[in-house]
Amino acid sequence: MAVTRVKKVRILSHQDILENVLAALQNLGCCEMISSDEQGVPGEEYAAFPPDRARSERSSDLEASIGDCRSLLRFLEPLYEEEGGMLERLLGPKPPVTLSELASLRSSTDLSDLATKARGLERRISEKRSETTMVTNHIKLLEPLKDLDLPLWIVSRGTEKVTGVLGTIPAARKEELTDSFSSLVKGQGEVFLAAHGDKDVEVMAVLVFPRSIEREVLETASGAGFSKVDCPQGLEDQPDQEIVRLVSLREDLARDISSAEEEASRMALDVVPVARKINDFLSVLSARRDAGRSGVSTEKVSALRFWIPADKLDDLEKILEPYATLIDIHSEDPAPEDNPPIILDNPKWAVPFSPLTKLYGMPSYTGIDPTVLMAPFFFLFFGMCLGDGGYGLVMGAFFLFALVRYRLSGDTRNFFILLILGSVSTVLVGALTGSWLGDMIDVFGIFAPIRSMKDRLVLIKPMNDPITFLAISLALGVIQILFGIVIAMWDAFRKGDMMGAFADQGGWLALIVGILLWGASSLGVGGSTLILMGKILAATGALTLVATQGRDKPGIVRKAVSGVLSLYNITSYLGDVLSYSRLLALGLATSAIAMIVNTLTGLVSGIPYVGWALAILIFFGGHLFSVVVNVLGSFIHSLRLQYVEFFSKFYSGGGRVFEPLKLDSKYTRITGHSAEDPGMY
Amino acid sequence: MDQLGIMLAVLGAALAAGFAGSGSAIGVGIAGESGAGIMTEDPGKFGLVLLLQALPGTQGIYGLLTAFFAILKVGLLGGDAVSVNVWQGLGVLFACLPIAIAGYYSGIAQGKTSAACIQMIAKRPEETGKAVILPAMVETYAVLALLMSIILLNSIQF
Repeated sequence: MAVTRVKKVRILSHQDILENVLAALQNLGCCEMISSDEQGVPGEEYAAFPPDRARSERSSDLEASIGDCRSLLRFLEPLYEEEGGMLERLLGPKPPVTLSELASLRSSTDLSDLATKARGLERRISEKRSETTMVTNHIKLLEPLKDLDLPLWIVSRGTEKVTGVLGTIPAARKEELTDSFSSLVKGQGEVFLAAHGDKDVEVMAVLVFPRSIEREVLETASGAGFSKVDCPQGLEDQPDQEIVRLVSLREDLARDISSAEEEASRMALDVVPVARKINDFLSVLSARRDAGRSGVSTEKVSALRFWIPADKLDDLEKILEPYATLIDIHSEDPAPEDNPPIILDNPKWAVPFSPLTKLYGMPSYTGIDPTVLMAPFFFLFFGMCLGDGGYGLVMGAFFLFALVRYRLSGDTRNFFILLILGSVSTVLVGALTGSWLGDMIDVFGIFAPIRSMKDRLVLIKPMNDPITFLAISLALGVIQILFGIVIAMWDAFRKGDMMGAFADQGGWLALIVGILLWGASSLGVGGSTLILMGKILAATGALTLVATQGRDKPGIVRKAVSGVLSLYNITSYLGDVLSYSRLLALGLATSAIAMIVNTLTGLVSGIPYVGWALAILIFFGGHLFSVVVNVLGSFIHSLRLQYVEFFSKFYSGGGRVFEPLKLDSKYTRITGHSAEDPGMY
Repeated sequence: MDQLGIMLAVLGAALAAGFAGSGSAIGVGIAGESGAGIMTEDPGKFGLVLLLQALPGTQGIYGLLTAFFAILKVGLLGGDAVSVNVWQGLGVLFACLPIAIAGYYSGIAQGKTSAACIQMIAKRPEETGKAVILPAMVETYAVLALLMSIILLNSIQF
């Protein structure tokens, strides 16, 4: 119900053993460091002391190694063939390692050498690639000039007397260019127009002429629409010879690239597993170093401050026992102005539901943890939204398989267990409403033997009697909303806010229950005493609300107006209750989609020859689609009912997640005894 | 005249499937455009983007569902032949309207919300939970319309 109590701990540690203390805290894995700027320590007394020389050298070594490791993984990881594919990597068990193994792996691996090698390879590949692009562009440029029997050096360099220019001309104006050019050079020059298709708008052209009239030629040519293209350096021979040369150059480049890539893949095979392990080790060390920096220090002493769950204090003292003479531990309760981190503390059965609370936002330190309160409703609502025994079984089997196969941990595991619980609820609801893959058992002859067994369990058929099921849905909504108001009332009561408890929450509770009693008895349930009770209760509630809801406003008139207007909020409660009708709608939608799949299966099975194949395809494909869509919808909508309709009555979130210093690793699972920890960074 | 009754029911089914489906198509399209933009930066978000893109797709399913209910009701999907008079046919047509109208508009609105939420997870992938809930708020009204269509269809007597 509530969140775990935490303590604020301050450790004064001698500098010599600071790293060992940090290592111990990290191994314990339940201390969240408070950084010194949050502590509000005046700077003058504890002027931040520069860390000693050896330590700062180790720190810059660490930075360099992290950089090397990241660049190695960035380049090589995409080339690395994962074992067992994507899902295995995402969900699969991480290989167990110990810190001392990792430390010796780090010292036996020359990361910077590997990183240099990898960077060299990367550069080689990218250089060859850009060279290939350039060569390809040259080939494209020369392609139209294949028939030109002039060496290209005339265009690119020219001689003392003769020069040339390369460019494009609109196809429609090529005669204009030829005419004006030949009248200008008077037989001392030559124009070459490349071959082109009928639809080409532009034509490549080469003009060769005496250098003495270069300016005039260029002016005349551009007057005819000629635009100059720079002739790339290094092209010397005739275009056809150059093309041959460039093509073979390109082939060489491609060979170079593929050999470099092969080398990189070979390297990835060896290096990636090692680099991943070292990466984990380095991130553990850098977390440790940052934790050490979070505190303030003098020349001899460092002060570390952190949050720890109250019940872990004994463990903390035990692991710090070896250093007892060199440290001082002091712990205290959080002060009212502190913002302690939040750890949810739930009974075992409700733990799978805690990811849902985290998804919305953690409760505040003094607030209520809604996980337990919401869990039964979510369980039931998910079942009602999906509401099909067959789909429940399919979904349960899938998530159970994943849970067992991949040995999940943490919140992923909780989430999968939550979905398995959801599937249990779905099977129950499915059995009570007689829906097994829709109406499969009724429409397919082979299920005839179990029909009576199915029918014996059926309590209500939403398809035939939607109004009753709607009433059940809305009744559940009323129950959950009233429950939410009661919790808010209790919370206000607990905090000593009597006005909030009785006037705000109590007023609404009386009004809503009163109206419900009134309504129920006028429909013929109960007797006239119940009507009277309902009326009295509703009137009391309404009067309380009118009298109290304007209490913050100045002046009697504004108090009265706000009080009366507050009754208008009844519509939001009405809206909240109606929102629960989605339980019926989504439940019906699941059964109906399943029924449609079954009907289509029945229809196509009559088609000669291919009917049976189509029927199988539609049956399995259709139900698979339906189960995926409906599980998603059921999850989202039953969650929404918690977040929007239920939480809004009493819960606000606003807490922050507990993020302890721990052996956090991405690729491996760090195990083993803390004594194996090298203790340094 | 009994043919007219059946045809009115068919019109209802066509409107339900057609409009709700169009709304979903537009909505999924809007969300998809936004998702493609995100994936040019980070292709690894495919799973999340697909989830959010799929959300406005439910209106189409609700429309299809209502359409099937409608034609099932007038016996067009096998079963015993039902005689449908004009008034009953009109009833089926009207009953199909809530999901046809609300499905069309809510599909588009939900698509826009999904697109915005896709932008949100691009910057804050840890907030996927909230990003999934916001489009579901829009879907509420499609669910309510579906509910009304089904209840109305169910209440027409033959």
